[in-house]
Amino acid sequence: MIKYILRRVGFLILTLFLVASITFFLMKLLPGTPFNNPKLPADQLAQLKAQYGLDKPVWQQYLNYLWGAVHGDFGTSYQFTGQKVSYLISSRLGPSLQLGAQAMVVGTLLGILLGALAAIRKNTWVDAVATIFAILGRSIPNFVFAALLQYFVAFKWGVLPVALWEDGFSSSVLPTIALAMAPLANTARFMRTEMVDVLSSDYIELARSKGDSQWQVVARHALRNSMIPVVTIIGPMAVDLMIGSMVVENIFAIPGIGEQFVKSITTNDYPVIMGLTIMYCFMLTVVILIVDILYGFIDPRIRLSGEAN
Amino acid sequence: MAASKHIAPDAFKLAHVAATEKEYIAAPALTFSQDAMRRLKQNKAAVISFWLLVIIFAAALLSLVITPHDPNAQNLNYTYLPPKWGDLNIPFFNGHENGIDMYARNQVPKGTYFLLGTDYLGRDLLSRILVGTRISLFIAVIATLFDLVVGVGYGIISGWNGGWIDTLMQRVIEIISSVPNLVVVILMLLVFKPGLKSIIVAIAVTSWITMARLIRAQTLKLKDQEFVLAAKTLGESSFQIALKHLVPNLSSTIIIQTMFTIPTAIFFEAFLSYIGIGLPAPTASLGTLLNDGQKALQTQPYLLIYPAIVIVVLMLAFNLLADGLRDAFDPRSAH
Repeated sequence: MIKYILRRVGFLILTLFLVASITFFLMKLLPGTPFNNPKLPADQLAQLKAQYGLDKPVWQQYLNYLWGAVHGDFGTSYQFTGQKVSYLISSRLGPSLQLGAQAMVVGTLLGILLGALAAIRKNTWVDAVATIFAILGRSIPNFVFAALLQYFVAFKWGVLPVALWEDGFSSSVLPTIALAMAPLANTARFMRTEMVDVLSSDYIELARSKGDSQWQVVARHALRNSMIPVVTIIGPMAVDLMIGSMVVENIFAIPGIGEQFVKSITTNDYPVIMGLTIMYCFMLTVVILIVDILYGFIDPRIRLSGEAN
Repeated sequence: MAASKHIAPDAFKLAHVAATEKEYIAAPALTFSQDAMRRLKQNKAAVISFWLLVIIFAAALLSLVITPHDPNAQNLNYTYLPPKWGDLNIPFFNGHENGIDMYARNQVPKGTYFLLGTDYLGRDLLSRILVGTRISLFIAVIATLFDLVVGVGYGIISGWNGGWIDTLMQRVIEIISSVPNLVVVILMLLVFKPGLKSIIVAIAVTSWITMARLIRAQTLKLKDQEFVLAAKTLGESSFQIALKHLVPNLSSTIIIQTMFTIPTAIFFEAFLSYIGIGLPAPTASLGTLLNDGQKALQTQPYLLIYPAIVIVVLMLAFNLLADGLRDAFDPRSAH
């Protein structure tokens, strides 16, 4: 197991290194410089370049960048003069993490509930409603859903704050719902398939013949066994959440890293884009690694096959 | 028991069945794909989705030839006109806003109607939705092509060759997929100029990954089977085996996965245009329409709601059809 984890961590570092390198050279490929004001005198331009380290040869810039990145220093933002990228990211990480965590918890829990209900009441109206819900959750783009929520719930009915991050928990409710739709739909669908499988297995039959009630069967045996594979889709769902947060944070004007990313794209703030790309990658690979290790602990069969590789 | 005793054994006699009749099979033998089509046709949601998609495709293609109005023609006298369906007085579709007839106020000549209203530049929303849908479908077709050519090709080569080639190709996939694919797309769009070409390049880089993975796993299973061995023994080249023996056996995976790629590609385009790095103005796409609609949401909600309905219906139809196809081609997954 330790060998497996070490191998995975090594691979994670290699991936991050490659991603950092690729983003760096992509950014170097971009035409023009951040200082393309024609009125800028040559000596000031040279001074600015020296200040940002852009006068050195590319390989030296690259090594500097990597060295900085290892120490959590991603350079200085072009858009906000003098602001460290690392500071910009860390100061905005809070709302994004809170939203992401809330959406993940709400989405998976409700999804498990909905999927389990659908499986237990298979081929009834409960199943139909749950299926429709899951399909709609997959089909409505989260930014459309967010915009509609904002219009109807916040603007028309005035129940919750329309935007911004100033009313504590209540301003996080609508964005969380908008973000949670995708994980909810995915989990519900996955859970239903698993649970239907489990409910028709021999050990459930045995539990029933022992005289367990439906509730006991579901709570003691079926639920737990069907929940194990759901762990595997947490990784892909984390990706969805990161992507979703970019637009949802934008729509609700939440000061998170998703909103910062979109803002930096529209203003060509390359250091911030690079920093955030690496950040997203890091979070994603770590989430997937944790999920894989967790899964190995829950289900020993996976651990064995992982080591055999 | 008692009754049976009274029946004499000679009350029974052998029925005469002709030998040919015994061998006769009433139901026609179905091939795998015929069987799948039969199952698909039983799935009402999938059938309705299929016809919905046909209609949407037809309408979008028709917009190449004719649209109700020029989708990019601006007319500042006609800005923000609500929907009006001729002289039919249907609520929400009678050209009134807050009780005022906006058509009369803006002195729109009689006989000029905008079925779904106009946007902030006086452009006809219906025409723009039609053109936008066409772009979304075009992107869907492109993504499908990459899925079929690159994804299937990559998967088969990786799985078939095995060894270091496989290891290398899988590491490449792992690295690409460890970055959220939208981040890859966004980086691509920064290097190239935003536009249809860049979106296509971006899709080319990311969209085929899942397909390649699935196809590789299937190829690994297939390549040890007897029919492949037989083909090898007969001296067929790897390329021939892939084309004649592997691809037909992979067809259900290919069909199902393609159907799941399409909604993702449509979502991609809409997402990119929505955050402002997709298609540049004035091109209409579902994403740009949603973006414009979002800006006017508080006063003219229909500008967001109609494109939203179109994209939701499109995604819904593709998802339902994909589910139906999966259940039809892979009955074990259906339950």
